[in-house]
Amino acid sequence: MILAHEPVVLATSPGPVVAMVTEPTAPSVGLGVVLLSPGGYTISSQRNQWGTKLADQLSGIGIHTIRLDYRGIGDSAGEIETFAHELPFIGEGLAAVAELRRRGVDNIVLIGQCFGARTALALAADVEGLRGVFAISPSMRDTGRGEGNASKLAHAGTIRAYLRHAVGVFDPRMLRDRGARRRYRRMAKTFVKARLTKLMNAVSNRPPDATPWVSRGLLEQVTRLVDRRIALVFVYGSAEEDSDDFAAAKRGWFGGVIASSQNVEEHLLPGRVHNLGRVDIQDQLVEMMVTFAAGRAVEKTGSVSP
Amino acid sequence: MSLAKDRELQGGSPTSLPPPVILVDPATGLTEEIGYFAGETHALYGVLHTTPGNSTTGVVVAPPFLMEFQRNYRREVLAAKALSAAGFPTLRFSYQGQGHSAGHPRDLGFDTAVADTIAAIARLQDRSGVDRVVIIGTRVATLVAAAAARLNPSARHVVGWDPLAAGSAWLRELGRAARVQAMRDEDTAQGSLADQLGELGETEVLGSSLYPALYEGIAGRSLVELASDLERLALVQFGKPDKPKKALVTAADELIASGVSVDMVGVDEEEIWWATRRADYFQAESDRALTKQLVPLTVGWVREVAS
Repeated sequence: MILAHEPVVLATSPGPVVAMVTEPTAPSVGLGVVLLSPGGYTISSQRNQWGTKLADQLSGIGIHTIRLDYRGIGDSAGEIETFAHELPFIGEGLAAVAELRRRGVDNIVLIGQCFGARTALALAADVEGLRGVFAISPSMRDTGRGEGNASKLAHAGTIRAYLRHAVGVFDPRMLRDRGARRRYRRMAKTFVKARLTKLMNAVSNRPPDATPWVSRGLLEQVTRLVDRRIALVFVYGSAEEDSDDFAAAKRGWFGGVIASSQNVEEHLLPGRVHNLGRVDIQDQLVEMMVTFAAGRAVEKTGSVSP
Repeated sequence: MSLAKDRELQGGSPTSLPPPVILVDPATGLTEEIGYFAGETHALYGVLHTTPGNSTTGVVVAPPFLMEFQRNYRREVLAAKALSAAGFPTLRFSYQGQGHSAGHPRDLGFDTAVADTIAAIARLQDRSGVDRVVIIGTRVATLVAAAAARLNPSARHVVGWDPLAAGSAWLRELGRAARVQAMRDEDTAQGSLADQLGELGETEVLGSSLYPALYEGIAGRSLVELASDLERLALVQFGKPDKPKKALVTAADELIASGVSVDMVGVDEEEIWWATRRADYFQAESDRALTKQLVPLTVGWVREVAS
């Protein structure tokens, strides 16, 4: 039995990051998957090794996989500063794509979870030979972790409700932490931006956007993928706020964009999928990811190894 | 216990393992050798941290299990970097069936974890030439570290991070975490972990698969039983350093009576091992107060042992 996994070091602008490449054990179909982790301390083998299991299954049907630890996570060098959805780690993702190309893989599928899904969608525009994007619970908002309620109140609540929330979550001791300081700054910025937009709409008599909180960047990224006819999958759990946001976003411009495409699939699974916190969800999603990647391989080659 | 040089390993034979990749920090001279090595039965993933001018004492980091493995990972990285910067070659690794190592979690048990730790000690000695090894174990892996030390005369010193005095205490924590999960998921059918393992042959705790090999292997183990041959043991309690846990104090007393030098130390901060939605989830590990206290404390203790 040959070990198909091989650690590599990728040179990226924030510093060297460690990735794991899994070579196919079946004849290569020339397709590679880049697996992008969620934010937080998750390492690239993922919870309960589901990342390793995915790579093993793809390897068996001739598909390469690369999984990486972001800067400051797992074995990678550097320090993590923030996980903000509008600041995805494009450099790391592109370095992973380049590693697959170096190994002769020209067709790429991006799979990401939460922050990783937003990173996948953001870097998709720069990936030649992109065959598909599989996005698990991507946030519709440009927020960091723990900022969702503040974002909702900034857009839809009263100033009093927002301030009450702000007082409730503010902890002066956290000002010693640079990550927390950054989070407070971002929440204040979101609030000011939301209120200014409301004011400008009122002054100019413009009809208000029903979903002003949907990330403009995300909207543009998805629009470009739809224009390129790239296969795109969104997966959410029914018990998650992100799925409520996704449903609400479909009532605005975002809904018009994805409705215009034959290549966008939506899956709403029961319960929570966001952190793949149950083994049955892990198994189900791994199966869906393998099916999705195999489908892209079939599109390319007309067949895929059993 | 020797490396499996001549046998076929699951996940790759020793000769077919990919070459390690080397990461050198030009500013510090610290080197990381990242790759696979031969365990007793499986290819194990590990990272060896070295620096020029190494001492004759090295460190092996035995990771905890299930969710604790992910939670502790970066802290182990930071400790390994600090230890190697202090001159102690340090090997971090993953047991078979965990992380990037080969093997299925079904086969991961207490005895295989001990065997993998012994293989890691051999790997460290082979690559760095150290003759004395300190083992760091976290949570129930403190027992793994102690058991590995019993079987290897070059490892007489163990550090336990947030240690448990008995395997049964850890299994009780798992049971509580599983009940929380069942309540969260409104799963009324959930029995005890032992019942589920008996009926189904597997169960899960917050998204991590649990199999009989690990559960049964750990159930009857105790620190007193496994650590009584050690020369020196540090038990580092997380949180409430002025109020050491009774079970640990009792174990320490018994070990001292049997001739082991035991250091009971504590750090101010606690770790919430089984929660993912938490305020510090996105905080850099190096910024966390717990890690800031724990890493220098550990380096200091190893330095004392080495001198």
